[in-house]
Amino acid sequence: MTTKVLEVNFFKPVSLHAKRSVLLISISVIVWAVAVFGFQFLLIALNEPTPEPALAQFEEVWPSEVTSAMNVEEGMPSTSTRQQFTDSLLMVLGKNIAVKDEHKKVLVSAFSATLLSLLGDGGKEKIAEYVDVSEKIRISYDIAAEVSEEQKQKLFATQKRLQSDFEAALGLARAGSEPEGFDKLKAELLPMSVAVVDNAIISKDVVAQLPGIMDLYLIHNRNVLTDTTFIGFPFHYWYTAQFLLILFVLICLVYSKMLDRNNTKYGFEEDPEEDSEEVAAEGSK
Amino acid sequence: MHRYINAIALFFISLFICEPAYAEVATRATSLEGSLKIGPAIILIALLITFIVVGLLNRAKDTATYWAAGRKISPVGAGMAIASNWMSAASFLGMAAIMYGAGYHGLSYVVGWTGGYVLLLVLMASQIRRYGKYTAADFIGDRFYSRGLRGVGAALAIFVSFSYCVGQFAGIGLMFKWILGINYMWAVIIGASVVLTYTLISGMLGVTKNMQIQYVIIIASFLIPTVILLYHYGYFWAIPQIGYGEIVTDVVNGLKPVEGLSNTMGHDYGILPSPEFAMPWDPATGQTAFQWIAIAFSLMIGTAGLPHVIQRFYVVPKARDARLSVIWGLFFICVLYWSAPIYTAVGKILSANPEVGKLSKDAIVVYAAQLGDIEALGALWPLIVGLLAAGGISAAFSTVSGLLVAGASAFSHDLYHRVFRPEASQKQQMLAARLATIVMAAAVAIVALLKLGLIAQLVAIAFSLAGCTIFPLFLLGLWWSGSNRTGAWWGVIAGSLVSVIALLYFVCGKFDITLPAHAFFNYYLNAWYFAWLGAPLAILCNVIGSMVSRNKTPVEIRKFLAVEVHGYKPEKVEEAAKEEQAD
Repeated sequence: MTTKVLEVNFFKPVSLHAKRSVLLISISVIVWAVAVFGFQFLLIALNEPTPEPALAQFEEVWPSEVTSAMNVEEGMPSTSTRQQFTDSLLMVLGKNIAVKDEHKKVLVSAFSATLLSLLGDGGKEKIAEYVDVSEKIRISYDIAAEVSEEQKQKLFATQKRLQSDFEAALGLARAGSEPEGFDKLKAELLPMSVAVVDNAIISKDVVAQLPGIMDLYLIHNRNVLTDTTFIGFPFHYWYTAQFLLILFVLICLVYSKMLDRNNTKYGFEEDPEEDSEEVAAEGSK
Repeated sequence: MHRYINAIALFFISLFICEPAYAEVATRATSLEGSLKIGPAIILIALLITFIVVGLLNRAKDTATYWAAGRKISPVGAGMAIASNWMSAASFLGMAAIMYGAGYHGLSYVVGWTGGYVLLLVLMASQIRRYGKYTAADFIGDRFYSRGLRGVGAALAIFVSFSYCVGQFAGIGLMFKWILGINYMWAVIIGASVVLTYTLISGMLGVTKNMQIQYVIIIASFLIPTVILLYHYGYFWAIPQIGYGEIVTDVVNGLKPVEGLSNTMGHDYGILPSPEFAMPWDPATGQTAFQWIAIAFSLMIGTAGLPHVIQRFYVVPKARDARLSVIWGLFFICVLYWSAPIYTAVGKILSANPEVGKLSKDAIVVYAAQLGDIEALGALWPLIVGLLAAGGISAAFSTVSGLLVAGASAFSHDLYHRVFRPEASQKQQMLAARLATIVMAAAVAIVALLKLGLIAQLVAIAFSLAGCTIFPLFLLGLWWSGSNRTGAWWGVIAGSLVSVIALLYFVCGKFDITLPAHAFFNYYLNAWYFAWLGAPLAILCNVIGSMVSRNKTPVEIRKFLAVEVHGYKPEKVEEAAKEEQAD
């Protein structure tokens, strides 16, 4: 045995028992670190910026929409082009809580201007009435607001009438039928996505900001680990949210068992005083 | 076992007494905010009374019988106590809030607040227990043979407890706001008064053994709604922790409106594709991979440096049982952490329509349950939601009362008595402790009113503080005799300096004061995760300081470390000590 046994140093264990313990600790910490941080680095390495289909939909029509919407005289792009454009905007507005307020404003402004152009004659009045009714309905949700049931029904009827016009204009539903599937969800966004606009021209400011906003919300870091499903989860999500915690418990369990075994093997007493105390207590009874 | 039955019976009796008020419950249930919710209020009061009465019934006569009972407690029971002590508003409300707002980024908190236990157990638990000091300040003062450092240790423990409490008070305020339908300011003030009263009452009870019961009630209040929600919305509900995987996938791929299912406001149950909810470091969340790693690291290091967590190891009689109880504790904590994302995922779909309005993220757990349109249960559902809110408050209460007591005792015992006025009598110390509790509660309430961040973020500050300052002292103090007083000072100063800079930039930013290189510091030394730099730097400074100084750790302490803490053979150590003296 060395003579320098007075010093305690993690990297210089003195006995065989201490060496084993240090090895055990080191292995546990390494497994822990690799499992937690190694996996994140793997994600970073694999990540590819992947656009949602809605982004392609947007980029397909964006320049043409802009040139003509900015200058109505040159002739409007076709109805289907504009519908494709509004559809892509709704896909982003549907992310609701993820979208920042200032970005929502830009999206709503572009959306409403295009909606106005799609509505044709009388569109301006329709939008104004719709915005007004939707606001009143929102207020009526608050129990403090005293709106009679009859008034409420009237408001709902007006909103529904206008909204079915909008849905037809936006191509979310054929005239006379209800929207279905995702289109139904998009239609449900309308009360919060339509604002009063002066004309069907998308402002320069909005034009400048829009492509960046669409990129921000429609491009995601994806890779093979995020696209694989495991017991219902995207794999990477399951790994981090559940497996790592399971692993933590397992590391602790294995460490504890191994340490106990190590202590027994080398005759290391962890609680020498405790035992003698208990013996004394027994004896005094 | 009968303790549990007693507690549950008591809870229902107190509910029964308030029974006439139920009729009103159902009518009030529909509005998310802005009204007094009688059902939840009753449940909260019943729960608090239950805790206090159970505490009275299970009261230990004195400290000795308490520890005697503690010895008989099984590792499972001790694990529940650890979990109950740990689970706070940050785990109960804050984690789901972060995930709701920032997706995958929020998982760094889930991992950070559990992974630290591995470090704690593997690196320090056995050694701390064998060192056998009662508080963090005691250990620091003794190991580094310095009254000054002991004072610093106590002050740090107070700071850490303080910032830990701020987040809890914010959570208590939000829940009181939700239950009473009043504004945030009054909610915090009322909540703070209630928690202070609760702390003083339970403090008078002395040591109680109701931690296990608290755990059972808190975890039940958290899990019951998840089963019901998943059942109602057609997922695998038997094990909601697995069942919610499909909800996450639904959010990512989008979910077409499901026939016949809606939220309480009548919106369809469905969502447009929202991959930003689960994809790693989504640009839309504004969070980067670096921040994820920095937060997870800081929280883990911080866990292993939190005074009130470390403290649990000083007093456990048997090393093996101590380890087992930590493992059980970690498992019981994980039960909550496995379940928290369920509320986030359900809440994300139920609040997909913007008409739901801007929900306070920190209350998303409760809102998610409230938006669940469970008609089949009638007036019972609002009560279950109320129990959930009450569970959140109790989680915060148990943590706050523990922290207030720990902070106050650090003041009266470690600072007032040991450093400033050694001649103070027992009575004066008690008075100082009481006063410190009240002052601390008031100060915490004032800071909580400033709304400096989300609950989880505010609590993360405490973790970074502990990680920068206390963790390095324990790690090096236990594992390296060479770390001496000079090194400890260097380390503490470096860690504190990083903390002060980070917090200065944070606070100035909140008050719209721009300091030089503000964006840089805000990103790399953010208040939520500055320990990623501070802790390694403090360790480095500690090592360098120890090496350059001539001031060697006294031989008695080195002997103690070698023999008592690390179990070296006493005769060999004695020999070496003699040899050294001869040199």
